[in-house]
Amino acid sequence: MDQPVLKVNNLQTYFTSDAGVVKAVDGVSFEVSKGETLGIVGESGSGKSVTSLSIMRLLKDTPGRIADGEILYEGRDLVKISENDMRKIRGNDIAMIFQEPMTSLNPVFKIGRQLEEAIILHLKFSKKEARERSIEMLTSVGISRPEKIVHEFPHQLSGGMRQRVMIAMAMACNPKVLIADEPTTALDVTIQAQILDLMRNLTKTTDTAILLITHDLGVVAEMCDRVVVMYGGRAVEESDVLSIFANPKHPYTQGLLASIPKIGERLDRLQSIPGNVPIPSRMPEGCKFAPRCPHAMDICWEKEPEYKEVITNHSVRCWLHEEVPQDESELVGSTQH
Amino acid sequence: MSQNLLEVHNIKKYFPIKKKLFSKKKEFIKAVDGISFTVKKGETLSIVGESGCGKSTTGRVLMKLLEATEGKIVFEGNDITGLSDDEIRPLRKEFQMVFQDPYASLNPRLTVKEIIEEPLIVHNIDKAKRADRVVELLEVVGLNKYHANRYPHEFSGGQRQRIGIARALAVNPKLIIADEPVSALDVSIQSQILNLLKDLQEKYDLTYIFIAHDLSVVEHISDRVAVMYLGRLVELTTRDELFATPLHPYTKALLSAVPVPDPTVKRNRIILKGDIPSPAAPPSGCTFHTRCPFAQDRCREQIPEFREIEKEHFVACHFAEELGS
Amino acid sequence: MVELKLTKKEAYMQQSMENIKSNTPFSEFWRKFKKQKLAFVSFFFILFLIALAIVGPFIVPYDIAEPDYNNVLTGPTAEHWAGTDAYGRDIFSRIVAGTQISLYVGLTSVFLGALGGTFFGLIAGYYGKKVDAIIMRGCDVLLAFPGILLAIGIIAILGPGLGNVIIAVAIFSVPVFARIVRSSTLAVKSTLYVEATKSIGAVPRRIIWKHIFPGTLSSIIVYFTMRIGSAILTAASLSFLGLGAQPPSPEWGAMLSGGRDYLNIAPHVTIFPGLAIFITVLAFNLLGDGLRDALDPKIKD
Repeated sequence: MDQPVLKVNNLQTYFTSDAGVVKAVDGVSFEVSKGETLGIVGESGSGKSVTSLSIMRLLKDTPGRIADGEILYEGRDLVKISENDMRKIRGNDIAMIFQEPMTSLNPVFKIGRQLEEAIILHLKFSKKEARERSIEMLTSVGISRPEKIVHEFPHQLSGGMRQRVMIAMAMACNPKVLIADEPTTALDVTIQAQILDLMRNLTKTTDTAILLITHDLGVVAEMCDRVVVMYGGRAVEESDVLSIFANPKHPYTQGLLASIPKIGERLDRLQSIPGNVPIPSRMPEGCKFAPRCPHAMDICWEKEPEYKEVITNHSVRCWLHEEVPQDESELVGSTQH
Repeated sequence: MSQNLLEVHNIKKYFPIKKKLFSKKKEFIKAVDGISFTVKKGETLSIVGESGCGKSTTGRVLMKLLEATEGKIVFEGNDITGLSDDEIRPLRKEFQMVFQDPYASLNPRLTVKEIIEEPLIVHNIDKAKRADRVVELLEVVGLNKYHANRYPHEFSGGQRQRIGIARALAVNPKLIIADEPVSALDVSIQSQILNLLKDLQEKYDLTYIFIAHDLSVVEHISDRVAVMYLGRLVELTTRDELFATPLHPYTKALLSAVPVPDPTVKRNRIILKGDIPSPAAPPSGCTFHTRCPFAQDRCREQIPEFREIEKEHFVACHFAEELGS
Repeated sequence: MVELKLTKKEAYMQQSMENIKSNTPFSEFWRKFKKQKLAFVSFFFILFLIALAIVGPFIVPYDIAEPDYNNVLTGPTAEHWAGTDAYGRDIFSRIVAGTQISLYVGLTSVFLGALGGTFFGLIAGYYGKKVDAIIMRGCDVLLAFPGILLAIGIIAILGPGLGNVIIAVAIFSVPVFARIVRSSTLAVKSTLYVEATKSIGAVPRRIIWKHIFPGTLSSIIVYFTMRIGSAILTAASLSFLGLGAQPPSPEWGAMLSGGRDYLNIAPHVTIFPGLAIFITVLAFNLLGDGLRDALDPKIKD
């Protein structure tokens, strides 16, 4: 087996406010290997974006801090290294693209300059080489007139073009890991199709590991090899994409899959998960999903289940799967009085 | 009388672009450029399209929040196009709107009770009835009376959207224009709201105009679907027809672009090249020709007519017949 | 087992039901405002000043108008904490009694100005177009004069006196408030909830007063507070110039003016009223700053 490029172990990121400590991420573990695309799925407040910011150590300007856990990049723990070393890794080894490309592009500099700066900084290229590399990168992300685009400002580009530029910028230094935080959420479907297609082809040729953070299960199904499902700051389920969709084990994953309308499937009523997305400051004590779970048992309210590999390559955090049961319904029945 | 609740005849909405100093020529963004359709009583008509296609502007023109530049809107047989603000006001209780952003569409300084009461006060319902009605509405949308004295910021997105729906229902409207009502919500909440909208439609015999970009949601909720591109309708037909045999190349591309939440499906995707052109300078002829894989010379020159190619199936494409078969 | 202790499930359920005691916007504001230490102190100082303004004239140790020629221009002593002026009147008593005048002038003039400005600002912002152009150009004209000059001009027409000072200060506060209210009206007017209110068929009057005005209130309050400071200052300046309160009156500016001739031999005659003006204006400005931080929706924690 390939050594994982990035391995996250029991990550815990806490935010401190005057209301107290909020555990935005509390126990998330996963790993990605070369050329693999790992999807992190979750809704608002699930902690998926905080996870990515923690990996990039971009929590400086927030009240958040990594309280515990390790983030191993090629064996080095990113939690422990100095800010200086982290700066070398950021952009060079691990690159990130965001949902809204406009906020991560500087509005007062031309596209070319922004690309070149990153290349010169990390790859120590000369100005001329950097320009060539920029144009080469822009071509590779499917921009038809790269020589012209380098002289334009971010606001002159459309949303799709900006996201292409962001991808070009992220890929310019041949990162080993690319973190994409909702890269297509702000885009239209036809443009989303273009960008997803582009990301798929790029990683095929460069062998980059991708961490794709999204709420869209359609995108996950098309892009990912493995999936981590997050809920209430925890990883609740992880497996390869086929098993997650064919045989979801956590009731939340099951509910999520059942509740999305699918093209070609006509139902009178959609299934839905009752209740609301939990507020981080008011989490239940036991399993975070218990208030919305159709199978919730007494134990679910009392104690949080462990995150365990129940069958090979399929981990889940749920009391239904704590002991390998013969029959799930039997277990549910036996614990309810 | 016709069974059409709403008829829209060739409405246009142009926004003037700030004139440059000394330039005499007036320029416009043609947000909506001549669309016509009818809405039958009790049905759900969806208007689908990507950002900038003019679907939200259409909704606002129908709500009379924006005045149409041209065209006619007929509601229950009455032409409401030329009516002044004062004349339209009593009619407003017939059609209501549910907005996309459940955070911005509720006044943060009012309690839930005050928000839902507002349309009742505006339409002069007397005080004694109002309090009961608010409680009733809260229950109808799946909240309870304990929520009445809270402020919007204490609710989650899904609950806020329920409040928005309660407000729209308050005065017993016939038509509800829902502008992307679920696109700002979490996946697990979307289906709750969609189910609620369906239940309410049945219960109160409502007619919906559902504006959306998400085709899987549209397929779930609509009876008929209109597809918009750059200010014009390109296709309008029943849901079954549209998803089974889309005729316009744009509809086909749109359908094929939707990611399918099933990893076992591998599809041949039509990937459109290029970006959506700016509505300030739309392409000549068929506005879709710049991205259309089948574009011919004729498409660049001649605007295709929006014609009924089969019963109930309207398409604006010169080659709909050939492409369809 | 009979146990009254709730299970964790029941506790959670109850917690989510109980949460109906809701944070009103006011309690939210108060929570944030308490964190602004300086402003919080200023707030209580101003409350104290207001109390002083009401009861001050009755509790002062000396008559504020009775001359005492045996004690002319004495410096601060145990009997006269702030010394006496050229007529032997106790300066401390006069300052305390003068609080009433300064606060009255400051509050009334700014209140009148805010009233007019808010009205014009709301109208200009909501209706836009020609109404907006006329009102705002009018404001531009008024704002083109330096404030104090405009006030002097108005006094020149109306004649000197405290009442006219109030009118003068009110008039030149109008355009300032109009501008501020107009800009927040524009911001609130474009929000989705105002559009939603329009769509249910509310008349403009209701939209303006019930939905837009409360949205502009926070900037009005902040500016109102800050403006009181400068109104007190302007009123004092006008009195100093002899255009406002006339000499026997214990108005702080008039007291400054009265001490001008003795600056070399008895500086305390000007220093103490000056100090009173300084502290009062500072308190209002600090309060205004604190209110802005507590009311500004952009500063969220």
